[in-house]
Amino acid sequence: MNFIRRVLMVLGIAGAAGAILRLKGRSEPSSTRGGWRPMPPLDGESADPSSAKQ
Amino acid sequence: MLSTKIGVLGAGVTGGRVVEHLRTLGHENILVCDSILARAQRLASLHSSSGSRVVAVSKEELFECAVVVLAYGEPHAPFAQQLIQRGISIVSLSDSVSDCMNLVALDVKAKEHNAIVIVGAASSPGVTGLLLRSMTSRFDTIDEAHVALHGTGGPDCARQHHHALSGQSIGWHDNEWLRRPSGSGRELCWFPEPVGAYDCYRAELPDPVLLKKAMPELERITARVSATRRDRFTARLPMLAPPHAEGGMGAVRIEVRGNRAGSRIVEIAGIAERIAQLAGVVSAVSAHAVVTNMIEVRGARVLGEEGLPNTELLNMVLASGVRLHQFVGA
Repeated sequence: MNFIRRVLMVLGIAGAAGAILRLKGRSEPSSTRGGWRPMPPLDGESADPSSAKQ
Repeated sequence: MLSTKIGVLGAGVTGGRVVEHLRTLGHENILVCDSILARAQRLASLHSSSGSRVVAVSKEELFECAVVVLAYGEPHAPFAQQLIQRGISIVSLSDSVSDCMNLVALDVKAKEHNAIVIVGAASSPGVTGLLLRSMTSRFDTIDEAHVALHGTGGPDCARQHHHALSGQSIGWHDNEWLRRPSGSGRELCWFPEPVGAYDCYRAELPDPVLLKKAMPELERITARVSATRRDRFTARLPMLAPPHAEGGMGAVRIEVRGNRAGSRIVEIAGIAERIAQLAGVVSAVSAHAVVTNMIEVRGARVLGEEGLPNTELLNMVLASGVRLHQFVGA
């Protein structure tokens, strides 16, 4: 009985720690400058698609 | 007016938007099918008029169509296979990785039967491919594309979003596929107003696979989706509450990195729109392009791929009222 209790306690602690680690974590710092503006009309695809990096 | 028969399988939120936009594009012969007949009938009666024929039909009657838009929850590949065998072209809105890969695998069969399969013609994937291709003109070379999505369309889309956060994300990194647990890799992404900033995480999304097919020269591709703590905490459990009939305002953005005149350049484009509306417009425009022979190449294709009229498709999407934004000043 004691063994089962211990196992359940370990699993509970591990689960709680896992949940905390999953929900916390660090965000990458993001720029606070800049903003959105309407995009100018699209002028189509690259004139020379072969110029794209291979 | 265009009288070619177009089928729409799925009369939910997105299917409704597909029919609505097909009508706007001048299609007057649309067959609607749904697993719930009453839903298909309701959608048909909503759009039927003296000048157009929108009717609810059984699944078998869709075999009379030239193109069928698949606007229901995954899997699309099994029914797509049946349609292809009859030479019917397909526009699929599936956003499941395995389903999209199965659809791409139908390429040879589609070519054999002279059919076109547009895979992932929705918002993400879908419009992201069109945006990526359109942005190449601003670079000499591009090598990275990073997609982020906020919001969901109908209930099936919400279920897929929930599922995506519990699987394995796929990303292309320096010429190899990397798998990471979904829900990891938090990044604060700014979406066009009124959506704003949301924490986004890796998820099991098909964008990297499809964007890699669209532009094989890319060296790094990632896809993230916004999620709340509750989303991530409950991702591995069944959905605790039934999904909303339709998600609120959503947004999609794509960050493209490359070189121009010897300098490293980053360009970010985004769209704030209801996800179902955006997906409906993109798929309707794709179906229209197939019917009107704007798309001539056969086989399984993804939007943004070379050989498709990507500029025309994006311009048609924007002509429907979708507003494209660019992030500047960072």
